[in-house]
Amino acid sequence: MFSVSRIAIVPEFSSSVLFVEAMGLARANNLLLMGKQINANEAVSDRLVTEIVRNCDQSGDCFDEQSIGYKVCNDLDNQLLSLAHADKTAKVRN
Amino acid sequence: MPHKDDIEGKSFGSTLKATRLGKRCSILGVALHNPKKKNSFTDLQYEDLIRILALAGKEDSIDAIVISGQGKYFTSGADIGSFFGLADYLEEDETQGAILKTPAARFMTAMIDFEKVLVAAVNGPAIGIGVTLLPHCDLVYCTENSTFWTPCEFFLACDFFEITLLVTVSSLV
Repeated sequence: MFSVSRIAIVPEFSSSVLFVEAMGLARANNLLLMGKQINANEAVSDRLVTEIVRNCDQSGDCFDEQSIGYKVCNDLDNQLLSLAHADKTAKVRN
Repeated sequence: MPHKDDIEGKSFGSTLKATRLGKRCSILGVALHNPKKKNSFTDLQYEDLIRILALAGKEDSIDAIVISGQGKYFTSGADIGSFFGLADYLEEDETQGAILKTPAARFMTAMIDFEKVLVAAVNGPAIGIGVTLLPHCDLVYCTENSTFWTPCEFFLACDFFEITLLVTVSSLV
């Protein structure tokens, strides 16, 4: 990463550490030094993204890409139920 | 049961839209909203996000925050205009710590310190800080057509969180 400091350019928001941890030095440099734009599939393989939310699921239900926030919120709400009850479980156990 | 409170009802200017979602209204959906500049991060937006992270962190009824973008872009990155404000902070305080007082750095610190579940839902192109904030999230989802780009070297302009670290490290050598 010395070349980064030599040309006075600094990756922001701890990305020089976190990107390397996630995807390795070579891929991180491709993004941060070369300014390569990557797509959703590459972002998943680079471990920058957990999952791609497909426009249409297997049942044929489709959603507008711009409303991914709402879809993720609702999915998360179902999946976080166990987390919400974790504190109560902990109290019973204690 | 719907739970209205100051987080949802509070005005965040025109930069954010916060909505409680889910059956128990425990998920706070935060949409970046700066349509004229494709959701770029201005100082005002940083300040509003800092406030909303602080409020949600204290609010027991909120389990998670989901950050997304309004419209076709997730974010076009830091507003270039906000870089010029850095000089003001450095004029007021010439110590190395001055950089940590900028809205961008305080937002980054607020994200790192946020103790609940933090999720990014990338709805389109993510540029600059829109990409570099992703590793700080617990979960990251994106649409099929999302793209990720960190064009720091083209503008010779970056946010300054890491610079502070480098300055500190280099001063120790």
